[in-house]
Amino acid sequence: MSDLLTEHVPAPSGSAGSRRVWRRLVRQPMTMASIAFLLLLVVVALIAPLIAPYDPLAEDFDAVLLGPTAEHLLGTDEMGRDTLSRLLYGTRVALLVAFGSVVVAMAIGVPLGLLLGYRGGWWDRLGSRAFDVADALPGMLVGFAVITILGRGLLNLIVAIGLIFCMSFARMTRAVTLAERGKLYVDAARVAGLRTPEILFLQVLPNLTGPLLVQGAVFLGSAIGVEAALSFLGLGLDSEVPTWGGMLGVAANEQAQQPFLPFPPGVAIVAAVLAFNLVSDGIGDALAGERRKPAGRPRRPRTGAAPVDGARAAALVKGAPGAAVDGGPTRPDAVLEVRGVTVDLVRPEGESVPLVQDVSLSIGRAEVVGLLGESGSGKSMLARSVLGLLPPATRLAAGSILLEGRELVGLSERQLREVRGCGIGVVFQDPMAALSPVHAIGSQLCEPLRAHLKLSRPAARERAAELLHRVGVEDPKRRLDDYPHQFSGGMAQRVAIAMALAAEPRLLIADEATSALDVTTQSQVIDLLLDLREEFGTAILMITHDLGVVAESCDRAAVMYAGQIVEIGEVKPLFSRPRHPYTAALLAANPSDDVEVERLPTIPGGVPLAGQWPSGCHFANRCTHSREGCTQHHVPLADDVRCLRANELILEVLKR
Amino acid sequence: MSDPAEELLDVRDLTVTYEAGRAMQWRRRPAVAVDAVSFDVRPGETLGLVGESGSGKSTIGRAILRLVDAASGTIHFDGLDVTALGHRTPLAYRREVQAVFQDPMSSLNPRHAVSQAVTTSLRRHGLGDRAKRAEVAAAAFERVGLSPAHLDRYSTELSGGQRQRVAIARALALEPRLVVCDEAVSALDVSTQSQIVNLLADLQESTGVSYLFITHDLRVVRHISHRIAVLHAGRLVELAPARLLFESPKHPYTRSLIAASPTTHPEGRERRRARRANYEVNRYEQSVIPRGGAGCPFRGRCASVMDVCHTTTPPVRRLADGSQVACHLYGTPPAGRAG
Repeated sequence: MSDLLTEHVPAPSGSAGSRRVWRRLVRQPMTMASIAFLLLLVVVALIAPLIAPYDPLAEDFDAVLLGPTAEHLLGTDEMGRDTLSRLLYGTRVALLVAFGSVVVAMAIGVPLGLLLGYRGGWWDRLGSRAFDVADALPGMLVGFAVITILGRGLLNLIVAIGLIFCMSFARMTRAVTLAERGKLYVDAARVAGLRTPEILFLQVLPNLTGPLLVQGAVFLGSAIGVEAALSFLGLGLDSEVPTWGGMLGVAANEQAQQPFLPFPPGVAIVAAVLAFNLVSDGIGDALAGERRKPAGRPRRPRTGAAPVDGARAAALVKGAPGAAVDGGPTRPDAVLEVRGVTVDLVRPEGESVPLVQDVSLSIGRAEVVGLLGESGSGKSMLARSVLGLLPPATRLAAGSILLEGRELVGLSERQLREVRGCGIGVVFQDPMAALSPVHAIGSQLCEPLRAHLKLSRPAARERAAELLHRVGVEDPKRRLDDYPHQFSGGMAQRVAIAMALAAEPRLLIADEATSALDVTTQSQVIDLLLDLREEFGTAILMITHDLGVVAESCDRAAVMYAGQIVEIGEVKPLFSRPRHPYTAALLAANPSDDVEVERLPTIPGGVPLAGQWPSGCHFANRCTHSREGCTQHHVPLADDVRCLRANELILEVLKR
Repeated sequence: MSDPAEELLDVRDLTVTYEAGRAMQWRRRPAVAVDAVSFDVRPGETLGLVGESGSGKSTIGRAILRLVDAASGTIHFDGLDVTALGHRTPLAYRREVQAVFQDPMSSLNPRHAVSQAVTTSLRRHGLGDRAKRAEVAAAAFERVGLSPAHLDRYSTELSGGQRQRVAIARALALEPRLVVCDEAVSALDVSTQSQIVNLLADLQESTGVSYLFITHDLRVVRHISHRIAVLHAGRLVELAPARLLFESPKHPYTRSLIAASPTTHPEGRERRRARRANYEVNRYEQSVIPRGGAGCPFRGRCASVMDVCHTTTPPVRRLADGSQVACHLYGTPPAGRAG
């Protein structure tokens, strides 16, 4: 659903990725506070000798185990050393160990993960088992072992903690690399002749920065915790050196005499770990926003899924009479009657951008009507408004939708569900999206039959098998127990059609239903839909970008461009004598297999994004027939065509 | 067949197998993706490679690009047997054989400015210094109809057609002699598609580059190809000059493919619908015949099936009109190297 909006709505800003992430981070107060605190820690570590009131190693046996006093703000330890000074100096060790160990962990884990993920096969299988084994070992045990072998000391502590963490980095890097390796840019890099290390470090690694930053920040916090634990157990640095963990160890021994001792190092550790975790969360959120970014889709206002309150809906319907002029006379026998439908995208700043403008369309019984348009034309958005399935942040701004005379605009979500179940069936491009992967198709087919037609369990099963047979699935009784993945693409689409038809809807919406299929399968599915229309009298709305599908299957068709219907009419005259320059250009650009031309005629430029539609005629800037007046005023749909020059133009069509 | 040196690319009996089975299994059975396919591409020519999903058309392209290994058979490029090369691919070959892939979104690195797609390969091939490479990239962008303003954009900021233009600029900046276009226009809108098809044709005219144009869309392939090879279930079923293939398709599969291809005008569609039913029996039954066995792989869907089709795999035969076809209906003695 999100991809509907992904490509065709311009992003509010157009600068590079990392800057956008940063801007999003700046907007998170908790993250910024945490970053400020961590920067403060770094400054403290750097200038500890300047700000510490005492030498952290200076013993004063006249003042042992003091609580907070004016001279010793945080008291003293069992040797009479100043706690505040030791705490400030301890920041140095904490940060050195945190950053050092994460650098060590990344230096080992990232190349390892890249290599395993990229190579795959035996390398990967053995490597992954090694990760599992390493995971099964408690981290502390690894730490003990390393320090026992190498001895105590700052560097060894860093190496020990780095080794504990490196497997996590390797595992995560491997997983992301595995996904990236399947992308075509990696193939393109190989075709360009890049060496494996160049591909890994220059092509794949930049795509890993996000996850690595998040993971790195978490482990910076964890490292401080591990360092504290090891020092507490006496495996960290020499007890002389001021460290937060060492201070905790002392505090544990002397707690009976001075209960205040554990607080300063304890609070420092908790605060630092918490800050790192908050930064990690913040980066994660900012990146997640980044991934959602191309959608240009604001998160909050959930105005989707059709307007809610009845009063407003009534107002909308009343506001629609102008539509009747645009859409020609209303038809009493129409199964679906769409009048003056306008769909807006609502930006978080509150401004709304039209995606569909004033569309009117009607479909009679057993009629197949095509809705033809390129991506960005708004054709799928129109279908979703009929289904009451508008994506979030879009809303039906005006118009009326009548299904067999019943107004759908303003219905509650529950009533709409009923309509979608019985009145309207829908088939999407990807059949797997409509089928649940974890249920046998039999139970999925029976569900609507029992819910809407009130059939008994055995009767529903019988009917489901009949439906499967009708859409051309061999051995339907047995296949009822199969799962969606056991069907090929074309067969799964047949099953999806069977599901859409289960409750005998009056209207079937086929939204690019044949676009992903092979040509032979596509023609079979089209033939099937035509057969079913003849048999059940179902009205079909065929939404497609493919002129061939319209030519093969539709009685009438509406051509959409940049949110508007530009031409509507019977299919044969539409293809023989198009009246709108866009229709003519589209027909000319469509390669044919029975005419040979030197060059394919093209339409210059591209479909303008929503919000960037030209004033006046939306097609004017690409039209070879446009003249001054075209861009000045709104062009209405008159006599089924939206062109000021419709009556004077004789549009050339290739002889076929 | 004529002197092999005349062909730029000469593929003989190419077979590619994939490891099949679940990811966790230790022992896997190979599945045949491409089964003894032979064809050639001449300098300055476009050979269309047509087939439905699973026909092995993309795998052939990937084998030529050395992204997958050939199980058997040879691929000669300008006289050099590419399949005999070791693990490393000579840089000279990488320079002469380039690719344009289907999905222009994922074929460009989202973290790099699009001009880097061009400059990175130039650098790898040691072409020019930094300033010179930027100059070449700008020239390549201009040649494919992009403005200098596009150079610093990221792929997410471009439209589908613009991204595909970048991919073409990347391929052609190295001045290759062969470009493998794998569904290069399939993801584009009709109006954009025709722009890119024309662009590819113009570039061929000015540079003399050859294309292997892989697609499932018969209508596009007819416009751009000099000759067309039709694949079915990993095997070559027909190869003929483009016009001949459409005017007199030989193989029943080719005929059903042409009959199924949606045309550009509603006129006569009732007749076409009736005719479609005749080309394929069991139109609802997609008979799955295991690959690599004896017999014609199309026999389960063929309206003209005979006894011999079940027992003997039809060899590729060269007919008098210059087309090659693998079907027992054309049972003349095998000619040329195909036998």
